[in-house]
Amino acid sequence: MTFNFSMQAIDQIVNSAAKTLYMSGGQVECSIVFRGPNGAAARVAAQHSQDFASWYAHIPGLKVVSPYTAADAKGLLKSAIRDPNPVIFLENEILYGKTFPVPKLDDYLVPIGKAKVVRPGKDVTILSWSIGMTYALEAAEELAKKHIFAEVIDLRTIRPLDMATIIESVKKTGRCVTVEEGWPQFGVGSEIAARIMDEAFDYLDAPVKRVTGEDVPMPYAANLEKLALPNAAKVIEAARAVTYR
Amino acid sequence: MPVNILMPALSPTMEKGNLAKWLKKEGDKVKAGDVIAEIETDKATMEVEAVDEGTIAKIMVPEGTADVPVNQVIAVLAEEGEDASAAAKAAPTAPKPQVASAPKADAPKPTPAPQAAAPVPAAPKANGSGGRVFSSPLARRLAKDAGVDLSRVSGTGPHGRIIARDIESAKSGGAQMRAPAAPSGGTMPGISVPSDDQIRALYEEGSFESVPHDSMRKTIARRLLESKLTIPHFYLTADVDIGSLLRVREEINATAPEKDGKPAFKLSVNDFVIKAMAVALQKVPDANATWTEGAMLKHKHSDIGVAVAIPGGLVTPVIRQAEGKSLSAISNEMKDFAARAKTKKLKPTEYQGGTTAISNLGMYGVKDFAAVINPPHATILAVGAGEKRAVVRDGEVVAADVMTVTLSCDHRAVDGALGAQLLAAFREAIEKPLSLMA
Repeated sequence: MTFNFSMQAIDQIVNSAAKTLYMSGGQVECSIVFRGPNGAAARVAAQHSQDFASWYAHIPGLKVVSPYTAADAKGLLKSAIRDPNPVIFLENEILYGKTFPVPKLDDYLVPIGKAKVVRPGKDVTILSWSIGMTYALEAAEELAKKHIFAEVIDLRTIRPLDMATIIESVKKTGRCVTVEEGWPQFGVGSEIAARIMDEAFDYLDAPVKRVTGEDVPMPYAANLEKLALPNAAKVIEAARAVTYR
Repeated sequence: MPVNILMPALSPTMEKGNLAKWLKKEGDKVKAGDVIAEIETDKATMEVEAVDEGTIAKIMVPEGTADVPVNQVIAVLAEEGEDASAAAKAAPTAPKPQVASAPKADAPKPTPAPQAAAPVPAAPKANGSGGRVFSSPLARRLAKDAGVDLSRVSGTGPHGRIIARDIESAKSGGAQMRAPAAPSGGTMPGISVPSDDQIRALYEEGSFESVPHDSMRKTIARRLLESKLTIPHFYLTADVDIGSLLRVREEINATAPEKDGKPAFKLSVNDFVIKAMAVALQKVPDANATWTEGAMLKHKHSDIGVAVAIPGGLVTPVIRQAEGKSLSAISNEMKDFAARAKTKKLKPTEYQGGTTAISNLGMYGVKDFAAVINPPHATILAVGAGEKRAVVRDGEVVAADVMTVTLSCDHRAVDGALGAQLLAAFREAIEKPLSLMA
């Protein structure tokens, strides 16, 4: 089952799981991890190709985690299971086929709520998570050839956002591009843009730019599906726009 | 999508220009490469070519408008299949959409659109519409920290937005600095100059005509004031014997091959002066220099600027690598420069840079004078008239053809002895003109 089917139970997740601790006056915990594939796979059409990151990240009472690497998937899943709160754990079907090194430790944990600077840079901050990281890193590699040095940050947790890491980076680079597969309106990138404007306005040399999925239901046709999703070229274009190069 | 046609930057330092003439009118079809307008900068008139194909939907800046900032929208182009009047309405900085600008609708009054769409001259400092300077938050903070006045920085971001790198280059004194607040170059900090009104008060009302400065006049004023205020000038004068030069010149011109029924070239004394200066700079390479705060730029070639008087001012086209050019090549290049300078058709690349300059007022009968160095040069040679003078040769007074030249030197780059060596090398070259033929 993928997260597309979680909408059948969204009342239970939003109204019950997320609010139980609050409505019981702190007496009843709801320690559940909801995990499964999220976002577009390949050619599974409009109803089965959706990114729910911003949906669940909208809800107070939930934690939303979405790893890119296998090591983070392992460490964050263990942290999620140990967390006393309901955690939405968004995985990606395409990343299931990708290999990453995983540390061999008895108890490997990755803390929830901590972003990771994956590639340091000075000219523009590229923020992403999950499969978006593949576009972000590919773009950063290409941009470096054009002497635009991007700092790439893997958010890993969507709620709570690690704003400290984001702001520190944006203060350094003065520019930010967010990359996500979800739709543009009210997306995670929109929220990050607003928060950066709030906390680092005087450090911005350009408006924050979002690279998102197109604002349409996912097409079934392979060529259109490709066009509807973000890719490295779109990230490069956005990075060049905000660096004015 | 209607395409905005922007005021082009015709040279790296151009900040604004005058829209001299529209060669297309609203409703005209253009294709890429068509000349659509003429832009006048400080020293040249340049043609603007269309980049895209389409129909001129709206002219935003009427011809004759002065000081149009670079990147300002000057016209809107409707692409193929687009409704020109709709594109005109969508024009970005139009104060109010003009309904009657469809080409075929006979407008009752002759000048419908342009007046409404000319907010340009009123706000020379603004890089966007509405009379304010657009800048990124980071640029504003950096400017504040560095004490840089944003109104003096020209923005290179979208729509002329001032971005962080513009502040960086303004701080390092780069080309992004606009002219000081008075663009005529009238004032420098710490020096008080009488105000315009105080000067006018000295003359009776109606006894003079007030002519506004054109951009060339402003540029001359700014650059030469900057030169005299920042360059420590000193002057070296010498008399040179041009007797053999005149003989050689006559001989060469008399035997010039014919081309289309006219001689292929006619050398002037000035052509010899250019070549002699080029050769002298190669002999004394240390004097072929430009002072910068960080380092001395030692030039490899002799790029000789030659001051050409044109109506309303002067321009200094540069003969590049003159040391390697023949006298006839220099002569013909100079003729072409002079002709095009008079019609303001020189390209900025043809009059920018150079490693020295020559100013010749001999044809006016001037005996000798000292010229103001034209930055970034370190020297300039002022050439007086060649005339018969009584000179003492072998103990006897004889008549000789003599010309007085004065070399102005930037003491930061060229010291007295070095300047004297350059002048001596020049004298040797010009007095032995056959050496210039090699």
